[in-house]
Order: sequence, then C-alpha cells, then structure tokens
Amino acid sequence: MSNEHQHTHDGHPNDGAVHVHIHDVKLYLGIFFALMILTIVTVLASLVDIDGFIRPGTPHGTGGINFLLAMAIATFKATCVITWFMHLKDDTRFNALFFLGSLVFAGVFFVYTGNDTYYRQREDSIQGQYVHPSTGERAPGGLLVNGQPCMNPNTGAVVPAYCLSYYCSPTDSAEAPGTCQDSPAHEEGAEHGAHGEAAHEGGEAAAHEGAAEAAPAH
Amino acid sequence: MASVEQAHEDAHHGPKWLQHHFDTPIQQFESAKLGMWLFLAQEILFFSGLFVAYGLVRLSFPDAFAAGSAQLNRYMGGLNTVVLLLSSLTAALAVRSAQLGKKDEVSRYLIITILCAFGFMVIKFFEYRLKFEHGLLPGTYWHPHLANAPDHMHVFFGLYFMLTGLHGVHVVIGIGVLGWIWMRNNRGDFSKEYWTPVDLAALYWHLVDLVWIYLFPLLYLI
Repeated sequence: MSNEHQHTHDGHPNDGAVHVHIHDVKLYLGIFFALMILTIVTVLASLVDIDGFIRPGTPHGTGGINFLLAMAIATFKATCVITWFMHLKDDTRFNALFFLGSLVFAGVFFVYTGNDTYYRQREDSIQGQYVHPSTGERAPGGLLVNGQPCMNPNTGAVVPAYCLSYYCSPTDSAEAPGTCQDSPAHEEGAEHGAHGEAAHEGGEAAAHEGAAEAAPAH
Repeated sequence: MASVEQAHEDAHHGPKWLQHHFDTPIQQFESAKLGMWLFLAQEILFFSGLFVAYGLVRLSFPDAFAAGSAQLNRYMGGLNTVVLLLSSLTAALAVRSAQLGKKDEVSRYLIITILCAFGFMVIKFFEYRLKFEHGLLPGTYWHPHLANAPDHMHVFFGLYFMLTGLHGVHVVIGIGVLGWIWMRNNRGDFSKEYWTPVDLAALYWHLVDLVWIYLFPLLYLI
C-alpha cells in the first residue's frame, strides 16, 4: 500500500472500511418539520382557486397555476427527502446519476407519448387516411397498401381495418395497386363501407368523437 | 484437514458479513448501494406508466378529474401524507442509530416506522370504504350515487384505484421488508461496521414516501 492512498479524497482513512458522516438528530427533525409545513402549505394552497382569480371563469381544477404550484411544492419536498433522508448528498455521485437518469427517461416517456397522443386526431399528409374499425369512417393517420389506402372495389370506400387482410393482401399484383379480390361473403363489409363513406361526409365531428371514445377505452 | 483450511481462509478474509466475492467492506457497501439505487430507478419507471397515463388523461378530461378529485377527502389524504413523512423520519433515524451501533434504538425506530405503515393502510381502508359506499368503483363496477357526474369521471377513479392500489401494495411489501430487518436487528446481525441492510430497507421505504408525496397533490388537491 503506497503512501498516497492512505486517505481518500474526503479525508477518511483508506483502510477498506465503510466511513460515513453521521448527521445530528436535529438535522432529520428539521427536515421533517419543513416537510410538515410544506404539506400544510400545499393543502391550504389547493383551497385557493388561483386560476379562477387570475382568469375568472376557469372551471375549478382545470387551470394550470394551482397544478404547477402543487407540483413545485411536491418537488421541493421530494428533493428534501432524497437529499437528506436518503443520503444522496453524502453518497457517491454515481448513484445520483442513476436516479436522476430514471427521471429523465420518465420525462422522455411522458413527452413522447404526449406528443403522439396530441397529434392523434390530426390529418397526416404523409400516411394518408386510416379507417375506424367498427364504423368504417375515415380517421386520421394512415395505412397504405402499395402506396395507396386499401379501397373496397365495390363501393370505392376505404376498407375497414378488420377487413384489410382479406381485401388487400401484400401479394397484390403491381398492375392494380390498392385494389384486391372480391368475395360475396364480404358484401356486409361493403355495406359497412358505404355507411362509413356517408358518415364521413356527414362531418369530422363524428370522427373526433370516435377517436375521443377510443382514448379512455385504452 | 479441508475444514481447518476453510476456517483459516474465512479468518483471513474478513468478518462474516463480508461476502467472499468482495475484497473490502467499502467495496461491498458501495456495490449494495448502487444496486439499491438501480432498483429505485426501476421503481420510478415502474410507476411512471401510471403517472404518464394520469397526465395524458387529465389533459384530455380536466373537468372529469376536478369532479373526481372533489369526491376525495383531502384531509384524510393529508393525514396519510403526515403519517408517511413521520415514518420516513423514523426510518432515517433507524439508519442513523444503526450507523452508531445502537441496536435498541434501531429496533424502536423500525417499530414506529412499521406502525406508521399500518396506520397508513388503516386510513386507506376507511377511504376506500367511502368510495365503495358512494359507488365510485373502478372499471365495470362504476355506479356513482351522483346527480351530474361528468362523462369521463370513471377514468379518474380507475387511475385513482390503480395508483393508490399499487402504492398500497408497495406499503405492504415495505411492512414485510422492515419487519424482516427488525428481526435481523433483533438477532444481532448489525453493528457499527455493518448496517447496510437497514440502509437499503430505509431507501425502499423513502421511495414509497416519495411516490405518495406526488400522488397526494395529483389525486387529492386538484
């Protein structure tokens, strides 16, 4: 053992034993009381309708300021618990890196999923049109066969998703892209397609409702 | 002959709590802590699924969430928050006492932590009972005894039961873990040199508290 390894960088003897800085009970009590006060503050703050005050007419609980304030208080409480109760301040920085990394990835999860959900009802100029399975009406976001939406050759309507594998198999000929074999058993599908076509022309509102209903079902 | 050699080898390697694949106690300690923090990182991601679902559904149906939250008792939730914060304090103090080698103090603090955990579950029981009485149940069992329930209020309660239910499962697991550590402490497994399991169990318990610190404002204080 050479001399320069007698002590670690934070002054502890480098004898292989575990050395920790033991905090006073007062520190833990102090953090606890701070957490108590913050809890009381957050409950009281929730009783005050800040959004209703700033922007009168905002339905209770739907504005952003109360939410952000509650989250800020919660984050401060969490930081106190993590730093002092969980000793992350005294720990090697590597552990903090892992923990904060998990928060980063949770954030990526939220942002990505949020972006995807937010744009779900928009028309997609690249993908084309996609059809609601039960009503046959068009919904934004597309499914393409040979570069075009899968069309029912009888009605010319876009094929519902549950019929896709029958109407448009990947082995379609290149001469008639997007069209495929017919079958008497699928005349019902054709009728659905016709209804879908009419409903779609009825208005986009129906498509929005369909998509919104699909959201809680998932 | 072989057993004598074995005994020599053990005597040279170190104390009995130092596992054979670690050279020094500090190496074992740092590995254990890293492993625990990795597990906690996983727990964050574990809960993140439900939190992201909450976030996106709340953005879509803010009025349903406000109405659902109004059905919850924020003071019962606040009491639960206080109970868990107290348990976090006693868990941290248990670790401190273990670092000082004070076995009886460790035992006392762990008992208080476990009692707080039970208290949390008792308050939760009374809360759930209120929900059941008012018909505010998850999924297909939704039959609210309310006049003008907004359209998607059942989604709020689906998330409420999943979030608090999953958290409650973690509390029960925590009771088991803390109880096991209490038994080990009772047996004399820990000392000023070795208290790592107490530290790790407390870290798990702090995470349970952390999740609740966020659940409380998200569910009760809308």
